[in-house]
Amino acid sequence: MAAGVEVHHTTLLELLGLGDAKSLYWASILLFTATYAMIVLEKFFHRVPAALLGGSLAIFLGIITPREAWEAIDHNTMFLLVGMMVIVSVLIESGFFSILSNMALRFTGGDPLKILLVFTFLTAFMSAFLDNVTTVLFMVPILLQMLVKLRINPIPFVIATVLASNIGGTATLIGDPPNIIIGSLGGFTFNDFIVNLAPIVLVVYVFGTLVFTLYMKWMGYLDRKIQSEEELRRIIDQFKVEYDVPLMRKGLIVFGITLLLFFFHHHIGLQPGTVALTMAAVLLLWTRLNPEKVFERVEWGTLMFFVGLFMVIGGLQVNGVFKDLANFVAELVTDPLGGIWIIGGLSAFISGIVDNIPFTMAMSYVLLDLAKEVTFPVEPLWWALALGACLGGNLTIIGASANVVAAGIVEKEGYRISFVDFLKMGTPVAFVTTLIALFLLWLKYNLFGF
Amino acid sequence: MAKKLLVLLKDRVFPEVLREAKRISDRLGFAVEVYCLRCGGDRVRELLEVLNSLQLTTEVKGSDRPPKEVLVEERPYLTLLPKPRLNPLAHAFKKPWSEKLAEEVDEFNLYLVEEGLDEPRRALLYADRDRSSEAYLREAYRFLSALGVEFKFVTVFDERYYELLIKKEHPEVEAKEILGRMFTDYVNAVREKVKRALGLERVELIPLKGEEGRTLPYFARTHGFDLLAVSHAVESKEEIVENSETHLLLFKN
Repeated sequence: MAAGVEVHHTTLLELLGLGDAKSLYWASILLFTATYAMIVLEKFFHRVPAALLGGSLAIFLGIITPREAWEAIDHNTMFLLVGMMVIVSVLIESGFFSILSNMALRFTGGDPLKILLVFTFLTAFMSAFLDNVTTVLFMVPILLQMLVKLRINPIPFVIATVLASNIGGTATLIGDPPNIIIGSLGGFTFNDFIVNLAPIVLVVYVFGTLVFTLYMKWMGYLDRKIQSEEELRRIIDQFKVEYDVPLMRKGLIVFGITLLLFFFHHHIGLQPGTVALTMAAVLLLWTRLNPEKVFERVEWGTLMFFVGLFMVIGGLQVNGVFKDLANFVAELVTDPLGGIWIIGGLSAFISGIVDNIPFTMAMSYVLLDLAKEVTFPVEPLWWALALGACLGGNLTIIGASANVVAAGIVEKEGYRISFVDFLKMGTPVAFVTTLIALFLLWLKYNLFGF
Repeated sequence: MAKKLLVLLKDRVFPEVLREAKRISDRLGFAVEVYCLRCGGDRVRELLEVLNSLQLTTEVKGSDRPPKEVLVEERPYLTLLPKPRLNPLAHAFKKPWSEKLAEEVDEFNLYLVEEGLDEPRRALLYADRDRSSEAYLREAYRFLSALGVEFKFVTVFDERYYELLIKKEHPEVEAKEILGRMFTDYVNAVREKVKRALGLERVELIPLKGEEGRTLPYFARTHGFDLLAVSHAVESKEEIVENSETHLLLFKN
């Protein structure tokens, strides 16, 4: 077979006489729903085989060809995940996170409320300038180690950190993948995002923090207090850190260069995934660590989950479900102010259910078409899309890549973030933050015009 | 003729180093010589005050030359250097000159005195199967015995390295057995080497599993040992020098 040529085999749906476009369209929706149901019913199915089964069934049934399935896997996300997991794994090996967790423990005095506020603020701030996945890969291990030392249930704190990461990432062009897509297709600059979204995100962050803090207070997650300075010292002393300074130095240098390249990746024409993967390889060569040992810490389960999910969502995309969804949304928009609510609200809802990257991509093309046909300015709709797609990621555990990554990290340490656990905290935060964000955007255009 | 003990200081005066120099010279009769590199008038005055308070009579020399040059010219039996105490995170970005020197040279006996620690009382003497020479073991044994420090022999077996290789080709239970045998063989080989080198009938050896560069400093720190003696030929010298929070003796191999 010549390279690049795909031989077509008769698929199962074709054998059943269901190979037409309409059947495939509905089959892709059915498969997505079934996979989603399996992910939600986590008591009976582990989410990784559930997503992989969904992905492979998409090919098996002929909803998507093997080539389309391969192309549906977002290689930038996968490379970013693998690369950053390797770099973070080396930093974990060096004892870096244990040292930071001891420092954070001293700084917060072990007070759960302070821990929550400090970590969520740092995460949101970092997320504004870094990919959310990177931020979560960096912050969650520190938080986890610290809370385990304090014998505090880490799950609500990890969820709050992820929520803060998704909120913070909304503020800038480089903070969240949907914003990168919107910036690129809508032709917006870094400064456009700072001017239009950052002030809104600042307000929204305060409200979001208020919601999850009140929830955690109400649930009693913030009640465990350290009784004395002596108890705190005893806890810190219990966990003497086995560290490796030369390894930490190399890890931090490579991590620093990676972050620097992330800032400028647009200018050098490299995707963050390529940067992360290259730097991970450089680090492995430099440290001469046994790669097999480093790969033991890479969350292969999370990566496989993404592979499956991307293929299932690819089935929706290939068969035109996203396009129809986006067109349906666009038909509802008759004026820019009303459009803010429609585009923003629906984007938040859909982004909470499916991965926000393919949806934002489809919606962006619809907005580009819409701009040619309507007489009103569509700029507010772009910002509504950005706010909805990013903040909606907090709705469910599979709403954003960072959520899944955090779930993978805690699972490796013997904890579990269930779909319902996430929903309980994520949904109110997503609802309140999206509502306030869209209101502020609406208010801005109402007060200052277009 | 008395053996020469050189104290190398740079920019700062570390009383701990001078105290240790005094103790060694009193106990072993070494002739002490102090170099204060890049020290201004104030530093020299401070140094002289410390020497007076310790009643340590010695010649104090100043120089702007690199420490390695001084070492090569003076050729002492033992050189005492300060090892400033640093937070590991700060340490990742700032490597003290004495640690750089310790990594650069391997033909001199060096004693890095940890800032803020008292005189050593319990030491670990490291021996491995392949790298440490019998000459090193004899010299370190003699020195620690003469210094009056209680010490134990220690060795580290890098189990994870072999584990990854063996687990690929053998079932888990079998791999565990093989690893267990390899560990016992390794420890026995090290014990025999120490016995042979020192002409001892019986040797008590602490066998550790891990990577010597991390495990050794960590074990010393968490088990009440305040001095670690290794040879310059140790495989993870850089790691041992930077990760240790105890006094550190580096002997010629």
